[in-house]
Amino acid sequence: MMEVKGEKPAIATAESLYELLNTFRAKRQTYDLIILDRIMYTGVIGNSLSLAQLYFQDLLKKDGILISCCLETFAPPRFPMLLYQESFIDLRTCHYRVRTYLK
Amino acid sequence: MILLDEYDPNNPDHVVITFDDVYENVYQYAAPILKKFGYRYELFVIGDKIGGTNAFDSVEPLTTMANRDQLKAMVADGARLQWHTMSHPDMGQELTDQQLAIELAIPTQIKKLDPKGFKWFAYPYGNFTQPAYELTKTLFQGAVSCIQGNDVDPYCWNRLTVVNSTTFNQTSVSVIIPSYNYGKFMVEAIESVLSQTQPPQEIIIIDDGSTDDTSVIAKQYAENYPHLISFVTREQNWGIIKTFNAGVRMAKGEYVCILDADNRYRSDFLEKTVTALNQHKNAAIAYTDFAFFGQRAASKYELFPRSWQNGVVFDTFYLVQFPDFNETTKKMLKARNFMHGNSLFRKKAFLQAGGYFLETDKPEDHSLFYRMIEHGWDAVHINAPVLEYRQHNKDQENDRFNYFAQLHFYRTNYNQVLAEKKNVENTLRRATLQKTLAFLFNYKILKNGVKTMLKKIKSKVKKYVFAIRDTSVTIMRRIPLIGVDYSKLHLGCGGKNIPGWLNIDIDPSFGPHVYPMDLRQPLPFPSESVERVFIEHTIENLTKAECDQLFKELFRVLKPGGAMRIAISDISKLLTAYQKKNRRYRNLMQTDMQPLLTDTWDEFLMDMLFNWHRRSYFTSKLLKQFLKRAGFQKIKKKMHSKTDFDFAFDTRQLPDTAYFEAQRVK
Repeated sequence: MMEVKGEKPAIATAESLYELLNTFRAKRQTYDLIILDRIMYTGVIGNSLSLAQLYFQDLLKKDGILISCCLETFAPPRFPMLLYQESFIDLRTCHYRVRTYLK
Repeated sequence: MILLDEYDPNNPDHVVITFDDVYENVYQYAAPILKKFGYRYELFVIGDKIGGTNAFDSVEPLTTMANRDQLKAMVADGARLQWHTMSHPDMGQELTDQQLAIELAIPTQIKKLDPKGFKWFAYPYGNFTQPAYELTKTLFQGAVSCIQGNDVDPYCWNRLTVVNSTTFNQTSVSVIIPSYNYGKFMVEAIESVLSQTQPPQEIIIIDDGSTDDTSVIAKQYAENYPHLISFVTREQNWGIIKTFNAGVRMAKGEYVCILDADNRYRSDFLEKTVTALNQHKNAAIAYTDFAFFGQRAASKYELFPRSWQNGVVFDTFYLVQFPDFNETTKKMLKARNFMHGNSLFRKKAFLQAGGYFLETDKPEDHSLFYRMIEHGWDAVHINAPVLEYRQHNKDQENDRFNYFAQLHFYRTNYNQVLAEKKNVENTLRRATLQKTLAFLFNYKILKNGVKTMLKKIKSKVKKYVFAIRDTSVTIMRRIPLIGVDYSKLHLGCGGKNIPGWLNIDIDPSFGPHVYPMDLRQPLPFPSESVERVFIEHTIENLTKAECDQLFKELFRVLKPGGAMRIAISDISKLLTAYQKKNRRYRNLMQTDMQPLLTDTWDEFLMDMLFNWHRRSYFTSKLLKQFLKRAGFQKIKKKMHSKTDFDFAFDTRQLPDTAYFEAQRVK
């Protein structure tokens, strides 16, 4: 579990991504930082890339940061936000692409 | 995007979005997207099934229907509720008048969910009988059918069933990416176009005479996306006016934009600009705000009027917001541009305006857009920084970011080539020589690209490990000679291609004409199978022992009566010239070998001995001894371009070059 500036991260569990996102949306909260660790795959979000991108952007505060990490070869299209940084990390035998966006 | 009340089937721009049954997933998946675009839509509900399941429809997977709260939420966001019967019967079957009346009657509690709705009806399964049709006419403003519909009768408007694979005719868009020595940024630019939420139909990459790796990158992308990306290369730099004009004229799209190779589009650039031009038929240009980034972003940002400066994000992006296009700003456009050159424009307007001109008082994009407006076109402003506009110094242009992007490019393609290599190895016997050589050429370039980028990245990042996992040497030895004519060998060919000869070099990156071979290894040709050997300034790169072995091998493979022409650098000529301080001679050398320019004779001599990276030096006498030892006979010294055989390929004469011809007599 990661803590940001001493604040505990928001936690929720659900059976599907949309249920999870709706749980967050129901809290009517937005967040400074969202980290998506191997989430934007079709195995997780189906073919609803645009919708998933929209949901995550809605959850992000203005000037918030979104970090998305995916396997380099399966990296999804960019979020429609300013791309602050893009880097590549090797973990064991896999190459990951990490993109940092600014809202 | 309109509602059914306004729908005119003869208007090709009219689209109505409708949903039958209204599953819960319409609320979960479709409604947020439709809300984002501000689209209104029609929801045809089944009275008995609201909040229930679709168990009645055995063809579809079981799922839940939207409940009343979800329907109300969608109405609040712009949807309208319409009627789809009480229980979803097939109205193509004969129903009694009473059954029909029950199915078409809308309960008051349901009507209350949308007081403005329930004017339109959708026939279940698209079927209806004459009585059902007649009753519908008395109760509703109109009806729709996906089976029995037409474009004439508003009580059976036609519908198109849309599934995941359905595509619509859409305006075609071409993106042109010209680059002049911007290879280092180009991967980011191309990837930004490939990442668009609404992708273009065509990407044209133009290498305007670059001397960097622009063409390598562009060519690889064109190979990876053959139906999307085309690549044009110019041997000389044409400059932006000619290049831009040629690019736009080549573009097949109705809408065109030019993305500078050092900039990036945000992923919704095309989505926003194409929508804007579709909605504003008289607008020729869709211009956007932009975000400056890079080393000079702050100073460039300060040059804009305060009213256009829209804040700084994370000390990285400097947002510039341009004014909307109206009568006031239109007058301002002549003096001050507010439409950046990477905007989307109509090709038709471009042709009307006459394309890009070279003008002294205006940049080329300002001039073009101003002339479009003078031709009566409007422009439309997208109020979002969807262009990431790089501002960099020439000497500070590389940073970690674009190193990573380039590494990604080279590594991904290198990995693909590695995977391909296995296929090539597995099918070597069947592969054509041309295909194999083209593959090796590609392989070498990409591998070198990865190596270069890793070297650069390692200087910036301490921990980064990526191993080059293979070498080309193992493949080189495995290339079969099946179907290859090796009767005439051109050894150490480099970039020089002699048609009809087997051009051999250790380095396949000289070009696809090269048959890779290491001359230090035994030659893979049968004895007495070769008629001619041509070898020019190559054996100097071998040690004396390696030369001995090579000559013996060449003698072995030559047929009796076969001949060899060999050119060497005769060191005795150079030393004589040094002794005599022959200035003319030295000047000749320096003209031909420009990279080795030196100030004095002594430096020249030192250069020759230590910096030319030769493994052996020959004199004419020494070479003759080597050839004799290998078994050659009739060894004759020849002049440049003079031959007793059919060797007519001598490179331009250098003052130290000595030519010999030798034969295998028996």
